Amino acid sequence: MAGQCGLKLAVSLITAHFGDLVAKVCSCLLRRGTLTLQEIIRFTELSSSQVKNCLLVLIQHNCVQAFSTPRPAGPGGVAKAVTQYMALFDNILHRMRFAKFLAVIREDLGPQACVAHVRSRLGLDAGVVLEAMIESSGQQKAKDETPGNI
Amino acid sequence: MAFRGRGRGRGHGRGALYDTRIAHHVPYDDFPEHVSLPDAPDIRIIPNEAKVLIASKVRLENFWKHSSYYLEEAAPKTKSQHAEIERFSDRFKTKKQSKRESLADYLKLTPSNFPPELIHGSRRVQHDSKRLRWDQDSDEQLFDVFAKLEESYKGRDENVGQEKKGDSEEEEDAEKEVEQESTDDDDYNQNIDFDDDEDDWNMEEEEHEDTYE
Repeated sequence: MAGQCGLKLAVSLITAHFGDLVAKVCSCLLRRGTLTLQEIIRFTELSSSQVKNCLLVLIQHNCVQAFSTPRPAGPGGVAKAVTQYMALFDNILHRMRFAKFLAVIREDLGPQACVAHVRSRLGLDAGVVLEAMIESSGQQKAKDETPGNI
Repeated sequence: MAFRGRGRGRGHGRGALYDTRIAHHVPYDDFPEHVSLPDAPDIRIIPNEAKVLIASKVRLENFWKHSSYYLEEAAPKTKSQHAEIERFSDRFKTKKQSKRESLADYLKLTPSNFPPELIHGSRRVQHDSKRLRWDQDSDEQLFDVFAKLEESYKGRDENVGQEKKGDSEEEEDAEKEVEQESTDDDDYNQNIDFDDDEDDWNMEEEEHEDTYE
């Protein structure tokens, strides 16, 4: 479902969550496919440090996957591994439903018991989600927990 | 030769017109009458589950917007601001933006988590590894696990530092340009807009030079 509307939705999600800079990098990766760091810097016309920070954020939130591929040696050169970055379109769209994920996990496992599960399901940075969860579970504890109350 | 080009253009235009004419014509009806629509959901009555989900979603989005992951482009300081001496009255000006926590505090910048080329720019020392922990109310077992992890990547950081010297090929500045305010207020620690070529006090001369270009 990587149509134009899907791309626009993904970019708008990233803009809402992480700002314009990160969204620019993400949009570049979504529209042009897998790119190296230098190519991203060239296409986005941002500074290299800005692009690096954006990529760090996107990788941390499992929206971009980095992988290295060995490139054949040039004339007289040494074969080196080149790192490329790929946007994970589905994962970006899933961010829309994180609230639902949390509700389901909380219902299944209880508010305190889902640390490891959140980590495994939501990738590197479940910490973000987890902090929000703990905050919301703390608020829930303040109220009376009646059965059936999510 | 110019006509040839125009002719081709016209030919293409005609081709496109013919394509649309091939589709069979249906007279356009502005307000079709005999159409059955499904019942629209009544949004005045929101089920409790939906309310909880909406509240949760809004909380998550606010959390992300105010987190260190929300990267903003630092507004380029105007030249007059560079040259201005900080005044005593500036201390009482209300800040427009609240401080964001540094991105480096929340990322484990190890080669196992991120590609080395993203970490090479500058060594990011983690001042407060507590923030890396996912659950700050952790049990003692998790506490011990994290303590061990800290020790293990203190050793890794030294290795990364040695590798960095051999690997880096880029021409960027060694200083990190994180586009948020750091926890220290000193200009030295802000690492923004360090440009050794510019002379702040003589910028006006350079402005005249631009008109010749």
